[in-house]
Amino acid sequence: MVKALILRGPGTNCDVETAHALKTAGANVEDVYIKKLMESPEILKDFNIFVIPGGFTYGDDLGAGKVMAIEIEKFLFDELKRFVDRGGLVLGICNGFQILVKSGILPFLDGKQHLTLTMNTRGMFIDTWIELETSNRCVFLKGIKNISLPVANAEGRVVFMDEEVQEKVVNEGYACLFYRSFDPSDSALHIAGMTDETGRVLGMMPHPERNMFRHSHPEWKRGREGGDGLRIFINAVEYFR
Amino acid sequence: MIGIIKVGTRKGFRDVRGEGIREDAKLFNIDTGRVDFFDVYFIKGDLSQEELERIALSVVSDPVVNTVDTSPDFSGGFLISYRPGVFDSVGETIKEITRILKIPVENARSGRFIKVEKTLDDKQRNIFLNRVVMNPVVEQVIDSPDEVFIEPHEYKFRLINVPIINADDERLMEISREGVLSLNLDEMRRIQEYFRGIGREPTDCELETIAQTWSEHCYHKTFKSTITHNGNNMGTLFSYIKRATEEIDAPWTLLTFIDNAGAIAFDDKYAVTFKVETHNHPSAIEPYGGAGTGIGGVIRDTLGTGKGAKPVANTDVFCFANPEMELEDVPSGVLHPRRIVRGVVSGVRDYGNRMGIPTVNGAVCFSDDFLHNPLVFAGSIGVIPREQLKKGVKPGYKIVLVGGKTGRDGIHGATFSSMELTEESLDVSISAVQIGNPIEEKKMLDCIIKARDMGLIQSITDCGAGGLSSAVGEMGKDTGAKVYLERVPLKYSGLSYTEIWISESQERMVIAVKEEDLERLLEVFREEDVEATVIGEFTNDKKLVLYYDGNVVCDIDMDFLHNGVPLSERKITILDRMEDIDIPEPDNMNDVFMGVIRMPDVASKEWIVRQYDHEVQGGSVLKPFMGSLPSDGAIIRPVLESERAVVISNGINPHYGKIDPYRMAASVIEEALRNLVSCGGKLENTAILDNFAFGDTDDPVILGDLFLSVKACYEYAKIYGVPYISGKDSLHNKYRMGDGFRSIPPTLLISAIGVIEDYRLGMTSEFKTQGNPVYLIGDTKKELGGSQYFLYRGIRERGIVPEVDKVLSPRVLRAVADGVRKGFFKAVHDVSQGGIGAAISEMCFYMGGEFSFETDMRPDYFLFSESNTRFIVEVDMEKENEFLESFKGIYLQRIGVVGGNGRLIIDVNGERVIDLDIDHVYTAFSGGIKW
Repeated sequence: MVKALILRGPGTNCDVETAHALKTAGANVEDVYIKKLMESPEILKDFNIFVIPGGFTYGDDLGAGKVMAIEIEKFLFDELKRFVDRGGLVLGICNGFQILVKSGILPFLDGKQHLTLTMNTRGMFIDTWIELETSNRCVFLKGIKNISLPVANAEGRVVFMDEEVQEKVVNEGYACLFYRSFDPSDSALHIAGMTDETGRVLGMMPHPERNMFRHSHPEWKRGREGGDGLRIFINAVEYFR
Repeated sequence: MIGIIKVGTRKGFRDVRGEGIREDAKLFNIDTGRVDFFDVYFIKGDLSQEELERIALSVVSDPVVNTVDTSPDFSGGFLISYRPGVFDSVGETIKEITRILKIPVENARSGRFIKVEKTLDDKQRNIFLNRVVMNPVVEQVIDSPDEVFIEPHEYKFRLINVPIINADDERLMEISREGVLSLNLDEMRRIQEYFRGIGREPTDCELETIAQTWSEHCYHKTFKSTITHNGNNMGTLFSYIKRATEEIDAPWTLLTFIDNAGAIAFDDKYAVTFKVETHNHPSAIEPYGGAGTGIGGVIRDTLGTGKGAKPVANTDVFCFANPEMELEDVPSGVLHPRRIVRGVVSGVRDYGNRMGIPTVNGAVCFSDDFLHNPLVFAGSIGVIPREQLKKGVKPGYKIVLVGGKTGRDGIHGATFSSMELTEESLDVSISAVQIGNPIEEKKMLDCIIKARDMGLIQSITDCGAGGLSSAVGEMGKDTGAKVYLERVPLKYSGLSYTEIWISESQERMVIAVKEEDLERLLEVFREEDVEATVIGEFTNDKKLVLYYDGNVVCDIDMDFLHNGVPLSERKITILDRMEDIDIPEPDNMNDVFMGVIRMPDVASKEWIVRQYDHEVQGGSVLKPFMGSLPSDGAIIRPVLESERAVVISNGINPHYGKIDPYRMAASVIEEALRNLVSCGGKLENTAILDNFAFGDTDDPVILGDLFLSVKACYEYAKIYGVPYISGKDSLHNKYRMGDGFRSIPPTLLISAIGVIEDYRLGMTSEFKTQGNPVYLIGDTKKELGGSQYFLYRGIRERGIVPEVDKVLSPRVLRAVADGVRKGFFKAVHDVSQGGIGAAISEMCFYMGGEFSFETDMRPDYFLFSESNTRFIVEVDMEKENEFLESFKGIYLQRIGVVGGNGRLIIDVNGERVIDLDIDHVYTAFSGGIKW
């Protein structure tokens, strides 16, 4: 049985539907509170997939995902690195992506922050559907070329620390998900998601768990049905089969 | 020591907040030049410079986008902080994370520094600070960081008795006023009589408890008083609402008027709950905090329903004045409407989004009658296993307080919201405004649902208005309760026993738990760092007894507290204000058409909707916007495992209320149900909620208006067979200025909730398939009183308000719901504000269309009349005959077929009256509101 751990903390709020998506994809799902995981990081050994779902951890008080990123960097980084090295999969969605970036897991798994996800240039929260395209090295995105998903954030704008990082991330295929027509965040090179060197870590601003059903897509009554987001979770589970 | 950290925006990045302030200042004709925004953090504790740097670089800033300064200069701008004692979530978070990082921080607060390029004169400075940058109710400009920390002082117990036994009437009223008790003379006399009977003077705490329990806000005295008209006894207002529900007697209603929310059956296993609250007064004073705590409060109503329902959706409905009002037209002591609109919207956004609850449905009405007194309605929908609906307390159950700590927040909120707003409200009511902490509430929510599922909760209710006083007093009214006030966890020391008891600090709930379950319950909360404290227990002496450090500070009978309030008879006057009127026919219908589409009530609310997370929890079926088109209501799947769905809609129209409150009520009931049916709902398992927001009901005319609306509520619920499951009234929405009063127009919000057997029945309103016939269902009359067209033409309080035909209306609504189920329709849209003109344009946004109408009315009246009971539908051409058969006896007009070349063309009686580029219409519709 493929086992997925959903990390919860104060302000996590997409855990239930993310668990539903993983279960639908065939995984066995358990949610673990951050405090418990910080006390016993070795729990991770029992799992194949580690997911940080969306939300507003600690209210995004000091920047989106910042506080939980500090906790992960300080208490869980080594264990997470071993987890990825062992072949485990890591998925961070929205706030989870922000956390992966700010804790130095993405893109280089070196514990250092090389880019940030900051306030969208329009300056406010936006919930809207967008069209995305992928560049295909990431396990989660196998067989997906284009996908339609919703974003819902105020801080989804990718900004790199320097050009060197940006070049590496783009040229070596770390950037793996791009806004195709409308970029709600005005993100560097329209990046919406990013993987690591192994392709086993994915951080993404859009919400695949909000496109699980036929009726998820806003145009489902006009013949454009939803459900594509589920493929990302199925890819993760299938990876272990 | 106090360390200060200033965090700014690095060169090359946009300072969005600084730019925003500069733009906002321009609206007040202030040229600030460049504005730079800095976050400022005040760190108190015995820490080294190195530790301060560590906080600066690795905790409070982002290495990519921020600049950091730990010996900051604050010249050339304004340093702003929350007032001491106002909740500061950022400060709390810094304390939490530095504790984990083992940096010795004692206390932390956040602030901001606004650097302004140009020098402002005194007047500009005043406007800039108080109207653009901050809200003086909760924030202050400071010179020194010492001003941000509250100096805790020890509280020394001293029992306060209030001598009333021998007071004369004048003195009784003085006591009521001085204590902000909002009790009238009859009530004060009744209290005096009670304490004479037990032979002692009351304590301050006892008086406060009685005042809170008897407040209009908590006891709904107006709704419980007998109404008389010309000497005839008309019964109580509440009896009308209740009777409708009793007489309809729907077996699928599971909770009606007895818990914190109403509930209907979802399926055999689950119930859905719904509650809508008003939060007007706090929102007038501090829109952001007021609206946020409004949402926070109604979510706690859901959590406090049964043994705890899980919130699955929010709704919000607002009434505002025109945000484009000139600055000089806004009286002193009143916030500018734009400020209120923005504050309220962002307050709802930040609370709802952080809670992870989708905001799925709402409405916004604009009228300058709401300048002094905006209306903010917040709704919460929940899901709960049916076997968890029944709750109850027994003697011996422990009283556990969970969630946030208690401070001085919101003291006198319950009595405050039962008073009229005055020019001084901004000053005197500071403590009545609370700042919410959604993350605290989310943590509490997760623990409550977990404890409920473990079977550890016997009863639960929220600490809303009146705080512990209201929560414990209500829960223990049939048993008795004792509480040890010194056990309540405090945000800071110095609170008196009475302050602890009546504080309205947010994010707190009270749980009744069996002694044997207590330890396990406390453990659930401890695991996720949520406070949970045993503060007392339920007793069997039917008394409310409070202790502070062993001293009895309150000892009164529950019976007196809950049944002692004297209710007076209230006389009403019924006025008929409606008169017909004609206005000159316009020369250019295209211009008029665009004008109506641009009316703020009609125009797109997309700028609001997209700031709300309306898709979290993953079950949205009908979103507020499906592509670029607004929906008539919302559909969600609250239980992802089930294909059943919940449909939610609303109706509100204060413009009608001003002219005819009876027809207004009938119209908004029908509007809510029309919206529901358009989305795919049906009347047979739909329930409604009433929220009355009226002015000064001590005025017999306004009380008469209220009576008429309530009477319509009874009659129309009956004809549709749609029961009320919950309701709320917000009265005394009036504002005193100089010697005059202003009351808001009679306003009723009807919120509807129904269950759809299969989410696939969900309908949208855009035209879909070329060639399908389009029909107008329902007759159009000259009913333009309070219509958007009349308002556009400057006619405010005259004209005939649309009537609802008691025989035809339920028949048509049932036929449409039935038609959806038989697959007749590809698109359904109801005709409401803006009439046929607005409805048909919305349906055409994707491709345009050409339609032809027949009428004996003037084209402008016909296109913009707001007659009820009308729909426009796209009929599947294969099923046209079946549709016609099924709608026999209902007025129908075939107005054309789907298809267009990007123009909207409308002919009336063979004459071309509208010919517009549909993209222009869409631009008018979507660009109307952009504050």
